[in-house]
Amino acid sequence: MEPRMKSGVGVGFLYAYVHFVTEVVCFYALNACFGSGAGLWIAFLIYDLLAFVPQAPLGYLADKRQSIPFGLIGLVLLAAGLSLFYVTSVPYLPLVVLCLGNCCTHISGAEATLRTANGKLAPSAIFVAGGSFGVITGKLLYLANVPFWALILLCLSAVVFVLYGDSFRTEANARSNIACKAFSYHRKTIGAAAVIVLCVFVVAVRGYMGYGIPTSWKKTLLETVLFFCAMGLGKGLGGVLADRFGVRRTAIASTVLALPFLLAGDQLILVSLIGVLLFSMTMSITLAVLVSVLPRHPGLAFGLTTIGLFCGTAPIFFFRFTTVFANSVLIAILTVVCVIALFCAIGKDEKHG
Amino acid sequence: MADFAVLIDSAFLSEIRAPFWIAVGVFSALVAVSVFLVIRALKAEKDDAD
Repeated sequence: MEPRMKSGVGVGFLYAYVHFVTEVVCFYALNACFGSGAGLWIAFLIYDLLAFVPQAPLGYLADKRQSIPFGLIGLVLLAAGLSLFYVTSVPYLPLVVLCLGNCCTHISGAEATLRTANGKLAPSAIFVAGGSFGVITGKLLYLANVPFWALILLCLSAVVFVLYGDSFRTEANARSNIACKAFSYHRKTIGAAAVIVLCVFVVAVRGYMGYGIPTSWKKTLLETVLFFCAMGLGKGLGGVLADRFGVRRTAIASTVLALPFLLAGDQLILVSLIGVLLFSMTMSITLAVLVSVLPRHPGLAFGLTTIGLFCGTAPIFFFRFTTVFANSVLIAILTVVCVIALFCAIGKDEKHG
Repeated sequence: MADFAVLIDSAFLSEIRAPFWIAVGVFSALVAVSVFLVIRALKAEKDDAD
């Protein structure tokens, strides 16, 4: 049977919307229900922990049990978590429900986009990009005093996207008994465990840099919107360019090129945005390399990237560099280490290298 | 001027002590489970490839 969507790009867009809705709901709730100070601090820490880290075990479960409708469960949990915020005085229970919903929709998106990708990076890159736009939209909707039931409707609207996206995943599963056998981007001369460690390290650095890069220019809401848009575009473009020009070439070029833009962009918005766009490009590449060493476990591979993201963002809650110089030195060192890690983990580009 | 700042002081830490240590415990448990699953998955990948 001829597959309806060979490239899986369409599935990427379907799940980009689901990812967008997920982040809108979560960030609306976080801003609306936790105020400021210690409450917001611990809420964001718990959110990062419970939305990111359980994705590896959940991903493994999804790999083994394809019949579990993680996408639908996720949307139900998101709607339930959001509703619970308004009927209970203890906000931590709804927060946990919301986080688990977030996990489920992410895992469902990863499974669908990776299994239908035929070894391409664009579908998962497009899926991942949707989240950046959702983060800032959630905050904007909270600031605009949009009622919470409107967010429930938004959740419901994503049900169709999940069902349609999952139908392509079912087709892809029927075509092959190895979920992602077309992914083969890792360096074959080093062990799979070493590739995993290197990729998770690169993801952690990117997680840190997402918050730690010097952006003195980011003072207004519009500037924050631009920051998240550049991040989302970068994540999406990374996959498209990697498919076009080669995975290793794109990974190393974008990481190296991002450095001067990030360091020189502390006061210059356009320069900084180019840097943010470039450094976000490795997102789908590290995922694709992890899937290459775990082709039967795409959900677990995706979960490993989110553990890396948590490890990178967690220090931001406790420590901060107070001078641009010290921060810049750290970013420069981390970039060099990342380039070496990417060079060691990614195999030579076969089509273009 | 110091280059580096710790963002939480002892007063703040005492305010969030219980959820903070629960978070540390949950994180450790989840990472341990994930490492176990990765080892298991790598073994399965190798066995299937052979």
